[in-house]
Amino acid sequence: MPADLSLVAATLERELSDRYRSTIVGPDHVAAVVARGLLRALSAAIPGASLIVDAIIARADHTSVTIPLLAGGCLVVLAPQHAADALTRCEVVAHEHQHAAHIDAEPDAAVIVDYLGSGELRGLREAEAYAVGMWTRYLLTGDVPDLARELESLSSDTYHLGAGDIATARATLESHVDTIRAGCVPPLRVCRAVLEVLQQHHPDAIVPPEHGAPT
Amino acid sequence: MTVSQIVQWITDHAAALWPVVSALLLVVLRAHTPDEWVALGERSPRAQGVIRLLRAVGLDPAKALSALSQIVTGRAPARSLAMADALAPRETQAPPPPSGQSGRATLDVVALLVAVALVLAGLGAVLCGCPRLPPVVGCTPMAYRCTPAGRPEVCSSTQRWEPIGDEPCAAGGAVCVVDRTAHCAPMTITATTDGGSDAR
Repeated sequence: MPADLSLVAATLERELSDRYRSTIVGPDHVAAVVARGLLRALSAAIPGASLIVDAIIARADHTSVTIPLLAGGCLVVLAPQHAADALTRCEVVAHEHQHAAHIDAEPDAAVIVDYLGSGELRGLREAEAYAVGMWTRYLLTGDVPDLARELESLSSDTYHLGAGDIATARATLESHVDTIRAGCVPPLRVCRAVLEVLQQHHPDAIVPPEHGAPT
Repeated sequence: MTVSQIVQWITDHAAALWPVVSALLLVVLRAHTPDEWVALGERSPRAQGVIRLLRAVGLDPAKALSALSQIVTGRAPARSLAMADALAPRETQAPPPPSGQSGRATLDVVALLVAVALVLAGLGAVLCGCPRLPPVVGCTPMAYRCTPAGRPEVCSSTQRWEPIGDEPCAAGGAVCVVDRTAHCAPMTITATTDGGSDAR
């Protein structure tokens, strides 16, 4: 009997939120509105950052976003269309928690400055997050990613990446795909966390046999 | 007016509002005793953290008045010092120094300078917008390599070695190899002539 992916999504949300101190809300939640306002105010202080923040906020209906909180932890604002389908929800929750892991591991201001102030670092952070998302989808479907969706998204106006930044992000993603093809876990902590959560709570949901529950 | 409009108005006027709001909050917060501070920290560490942040980056009216007065007069005026003492946070009040008011003035100025330096350093980290990029080393863009620690890296379009991932391949029980890309691959065990085995 196939695993109930809505249960898997709920488990991933709970476990990843605990590990990386995140709170998951919808875009209309008052905390999301206030956090977007703070982010907009902060971005005004970083040259060139307003364009990116405005682009992300303008796409709030179909772009999920992770916002650092000054009091610690972060807010994951899940776009409605990402919550509608259980498999997409699993993928996006994992993607956003790669950002949450960065925020949890480093001082908030430095993470924001890196992301908003450098196309190269923004491209790499997004490539890592997409790698976590496609790893999660791979575990739940067995489909080896072809990168088409990820590259289309990275090239969109959302991230304001230059050609060189996109090429570097693509090279990073290709490395992660080669790791997945080799039967290994991409070298990202959240990838291992997703695998551990699935092995512990939903081993029947893991499709690739080499990543099934350890015996 | 919707919540979005209120937030928009606040963010549009943040630069003017912040000193006023933080100064008022700091004056109100000084009414609390040390015991109340300790209780707040135990009850709600995050709320206390927010208040500490307010004190760190907000406008402190007592110290600002004291400093302005000192700049104008060239010495520590007794009246502004008295104001600063009256409004100083109770948990940071130091015992009176034996040498009298000149010692207090020195301490106050040093504390003010340290506070200003800390605030400027904190704001500078955000305002200068300096991302932490690795050094430019002139590598060939899109070339790959494995580091001695077993981490894949790619040469970025700006000719910097950028790490791929946030941990070495060994964390997932694999090794780093360069084959088309630098990536993680299963560790292969090969027999050696002396009957042992090598992991590669």
